[in-house]
Amino acid sequence: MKHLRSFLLTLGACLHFTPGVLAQTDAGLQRAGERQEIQAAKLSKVPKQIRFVKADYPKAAEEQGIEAEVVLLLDISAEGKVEAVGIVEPATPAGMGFDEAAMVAAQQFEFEPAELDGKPVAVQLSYRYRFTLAPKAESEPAAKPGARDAESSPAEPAAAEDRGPAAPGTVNLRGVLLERGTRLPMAGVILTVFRDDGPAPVGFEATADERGRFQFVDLDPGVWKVLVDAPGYYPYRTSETIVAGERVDAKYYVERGTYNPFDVTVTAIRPKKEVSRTVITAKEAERVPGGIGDPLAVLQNFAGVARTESSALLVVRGSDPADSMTLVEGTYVPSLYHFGALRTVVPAGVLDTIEFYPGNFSPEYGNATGGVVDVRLKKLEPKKIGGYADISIIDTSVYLEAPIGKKAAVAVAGRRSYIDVLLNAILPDDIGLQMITAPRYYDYQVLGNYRPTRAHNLQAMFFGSDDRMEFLFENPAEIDPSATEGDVGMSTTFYRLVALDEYVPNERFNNRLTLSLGRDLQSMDMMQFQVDLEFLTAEVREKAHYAFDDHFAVNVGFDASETYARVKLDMPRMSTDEAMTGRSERTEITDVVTDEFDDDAWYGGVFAEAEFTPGAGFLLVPGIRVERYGLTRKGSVQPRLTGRWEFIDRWSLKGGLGLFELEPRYLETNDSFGNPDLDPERAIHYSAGLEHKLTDQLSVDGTFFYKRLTSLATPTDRMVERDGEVVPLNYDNGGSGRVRGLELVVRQELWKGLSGWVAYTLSQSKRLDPGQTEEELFDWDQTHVLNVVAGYALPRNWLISSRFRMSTGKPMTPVVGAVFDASRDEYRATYGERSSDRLRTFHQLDLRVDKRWIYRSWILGAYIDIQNVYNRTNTEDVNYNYNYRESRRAPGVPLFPIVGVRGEL
Amino acid sequence: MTRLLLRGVTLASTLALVSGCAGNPMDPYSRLTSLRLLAIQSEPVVPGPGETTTLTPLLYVPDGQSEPELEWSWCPFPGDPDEGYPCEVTEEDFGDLDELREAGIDVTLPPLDLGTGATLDFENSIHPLLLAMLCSGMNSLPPEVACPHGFPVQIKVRVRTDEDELVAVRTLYLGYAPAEFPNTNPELPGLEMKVDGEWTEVSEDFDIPVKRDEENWVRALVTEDQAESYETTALEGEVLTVRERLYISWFVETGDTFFARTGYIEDVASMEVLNENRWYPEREEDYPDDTAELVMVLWDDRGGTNWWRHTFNVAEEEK
Repeated sequence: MKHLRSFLLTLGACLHFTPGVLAQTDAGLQRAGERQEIQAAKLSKVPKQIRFVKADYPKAAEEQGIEAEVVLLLDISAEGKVEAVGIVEPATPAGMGFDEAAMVAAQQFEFEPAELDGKPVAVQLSYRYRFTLAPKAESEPAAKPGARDAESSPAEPAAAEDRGPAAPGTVNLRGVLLERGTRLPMAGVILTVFRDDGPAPVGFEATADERGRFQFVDLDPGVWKVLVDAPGYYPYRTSETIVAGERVDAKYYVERGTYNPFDVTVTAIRPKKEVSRTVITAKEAERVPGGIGDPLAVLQNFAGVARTESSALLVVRGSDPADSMTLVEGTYVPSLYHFGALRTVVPAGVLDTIEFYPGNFSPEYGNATGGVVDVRLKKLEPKKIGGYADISIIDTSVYLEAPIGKKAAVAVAGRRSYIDVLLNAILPDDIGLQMITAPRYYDYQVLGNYRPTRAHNLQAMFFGSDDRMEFLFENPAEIDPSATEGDVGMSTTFYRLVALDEYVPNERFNNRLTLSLGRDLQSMDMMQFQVDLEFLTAEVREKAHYAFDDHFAVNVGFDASETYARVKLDMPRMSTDEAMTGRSERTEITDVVTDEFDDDAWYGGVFAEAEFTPGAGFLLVPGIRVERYGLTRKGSVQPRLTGRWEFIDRWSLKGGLGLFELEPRYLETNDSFGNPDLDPERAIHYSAGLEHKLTDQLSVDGTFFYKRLTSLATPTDRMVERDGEVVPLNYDNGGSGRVRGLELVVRQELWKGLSGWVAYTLSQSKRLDPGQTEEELFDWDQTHVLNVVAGYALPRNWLISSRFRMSTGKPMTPVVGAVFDASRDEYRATYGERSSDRLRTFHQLDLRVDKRWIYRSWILGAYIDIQNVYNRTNTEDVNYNYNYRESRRAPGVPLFPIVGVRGEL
Repeated sequence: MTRLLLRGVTLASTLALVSGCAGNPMDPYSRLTSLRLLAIQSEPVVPGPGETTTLTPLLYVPDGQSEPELEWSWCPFPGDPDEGYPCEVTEEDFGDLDELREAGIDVTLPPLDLGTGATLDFENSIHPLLLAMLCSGMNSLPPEVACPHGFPVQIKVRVRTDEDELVAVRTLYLGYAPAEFPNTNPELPGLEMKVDGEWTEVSEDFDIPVKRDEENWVRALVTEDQAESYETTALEGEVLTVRERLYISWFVETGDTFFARTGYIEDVASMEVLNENRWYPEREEDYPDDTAELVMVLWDDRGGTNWWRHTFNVAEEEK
């Protein structure tokens, strides 16, 4: 009796991290200054229990036959010792002594420490200790024959009490214990076989090894009940019939309590130095409603980001979309979106996290005055061959990953749209249009990971993307009277190889080196005009961190890139505004630029940053960046400073001040179109705020920001003498502007299945062009932007999430009349005061429901993503009739459900 | 069950999209429903030095509106179209060009306000040397002007009826040197309509009705020789002989045309593309009148313009 109870008690103890159902998991969104939460998947090694101490069963409870569970929170040091034990969920009924007994036992546990990037780290983990009484038995079960853990081999002879007909030491039940759906081995989980139909109950246990294997020896013939009751999993029960002289081979699939995307996580503490930083996992991002699975679409739901009609237009703290940059592992990619911004060119499957800095970012990043988005690649650690296929109404994607030995892994992925197939099927033949290449896109990725030593992690991804469409209008006059050809088409193709070396030899030093090689091809045909661009790019980024002691650390590094360009132009001269808006002021295309040239430009930046932590909760991070620009060949020095002060437990003040510069764009600096002597555009970022963590899962963050913009490149009619010739200056640095605002974030991390955030931004963004006396609203100014995102994990693998958005309509310039131009057979609008009107307020509710069906060796997922649930008629723009006398709102997306299915291996 | 659900969701998605994009469409460009100025013809197309050109507007005035009044003006340097093409110079600006006057060049300009009238006679009285210099750019005046077919000036006309008002402009090229190549208004002799599968010319007494809510094939009778040849200098400096591009803008009182504008571009779009179009008159409940006008405006890329108009009977197709 005592013997049986002891192993059942052991069985009841959790030897693993408790999964998502147990609180302190990270739903993904993190704010600076909090305790840094790291998903378990990011740890290079999860803590492994090496010493278990059985808790004393409270006597009174035992006598009354009361069982209970206690959920503990263990603080495990970097050495693997349990430093503190807390109660997350006390036992019920209370007062029986379960909590105390579990805490006493847990304080004696020992672990192999967790590691992050090969470095031991302190972690917190939930630990469910289950007090379970054995079935009532007349007598104790035989000590032997019995179970043998898979780790213990070879088979040992049975004990003297061996009475069964099975030959001593003979394995007669063995098998593999796998997680249902994912087929992951359930290492360390205990299986019990028992029979209680005889005069005395008999039971044995075995522990699955790292491959999920287990075995029992010398079981008596007959029917044995099998029980797997692992924490976080549904209890698994079955029975096996043992026949003398035969061996049963079994495979058990145990279903996890939940398969929701908020996977098992642990937390570690890492001080944060940024004033504002938001991190979201790709897994969670793709489940935010309205994004159709596009992980980057979620960026528009963060504080400081304005709502735009396209995910590709990222307006951060009132900055132009071109003022912000989006990177992959710190390196440039020509476009992160396929056309229409329907999809990112890198699918969620190969992404780990998306890091977003709305301002006052580290000197590690340069050539941006808005915000920075850095997409981090997934660190492959597959335990098996697996993957998924995702089918939606616009494209299909596949992803496959596999381990290669114990130190390496590889993944391949690809996606192809079928918009072209649909268009070809739908469009009639006699529409005066030949679809030479219907719109289509595809992308592909090969990702590899190799970890030669514990201190080294090597990672590489080769990826590419291709977007293409080509039409031939049989009647070019229909497009425009100035058209002399009917070709309209575009293509964007790029290839990238990004290689990353992370080296973490000890806790004081780490180094990150990134190399990127790429080729970009862009082509555009618009009637008789063509632009063909080819870029070859090599980029290197290096960052090293060294901590001298607990109070002083430095980050130093550099980035450099060399771009070789082949350019072929045959296009009308146009300003950046004309290129961006497609609105030209000319009545005839007489000013055509034809040019063909090769050119190269190299950019370089060196940065240094110190981290002072003098104590009393202070963190001061001064930094500097020295930069050299490739097009204008000018340089700049940009000092930056951020600071934090945790003045009371859970309360932090934060602030930042810094200079940020951006080289004007190609059209603005080109010899033919622009002014090669332009200075960089400048922004001074100021920010200050307060953070408060109400509970471990609930936090509030408020940040004031102010941005002063100077030296903005703006079109000018001025003529200048250059190389002895009077030429148009095209652009000067006469523009300026300012942005001010407040961001407020209330964040609920995953707690009892619920997670989400409320992000509100109040802002005003204005610009002053040369010659103007009064500032005007910036084209993307939005006074109020509110985003409420919430997800709730329901039982049986249902997940419901919703997103509500509300924002002030963007400024618009009213049309006050029109003039008919008989020479061009078209009306030209005349406009009123610039930005003196606004589109109506936008608001929309999106809803998404995910359901997963768990089969033995695969998982079927389905989702319905309903955009605009209450069918609000939002206005994205105003359309006018031919003479601008009638207008209609250009409606946004109506109530629109999208369905998709995904199969996961 | 699952299939039914999927079909339901697909149907709902389609309906949602359709309902979101639907709504009362706005009048198309080709449909004549209100006061319109469709073209301004200048005869001759490019007045040479001292020559007078007559500017004639093609107006569409809906039934019941009063006789329109026209006010004319001109401008050598029109401003931003977003602001309604304000004239960026005054007569006085030219009066200040003393260096030209000292060189013996008459810088007197016609008054910018040209008065009223159903048509306008405009004399190219500007000194040809001044026009040539303006084409090359002068420091004291707006930047260099492109003069592919003469010095471009803008003619502006304000058309008023008691009920409505509109403003229109056109570019008029003023010659400052003897014309090397002819530039005349193209001829538009008429139209054919496909009747029972046969092309039938539309004469003045043509009474075969066009069919409501049906595709009516029509074909203009423009010939290829209306696209005149001329020499131009390519960007690389090469002198090329090219042909004019021809366009027809199509206007109808009911329904719409397949193309609002068709064009001929040598070696790219044939005369067939220029001439052929389809007309879709509306049903009787949307357009109760039993006649409807069709107007074709033929124009080229060097300022030549002509037109043709005819009133057709419209009727439901006999079933």
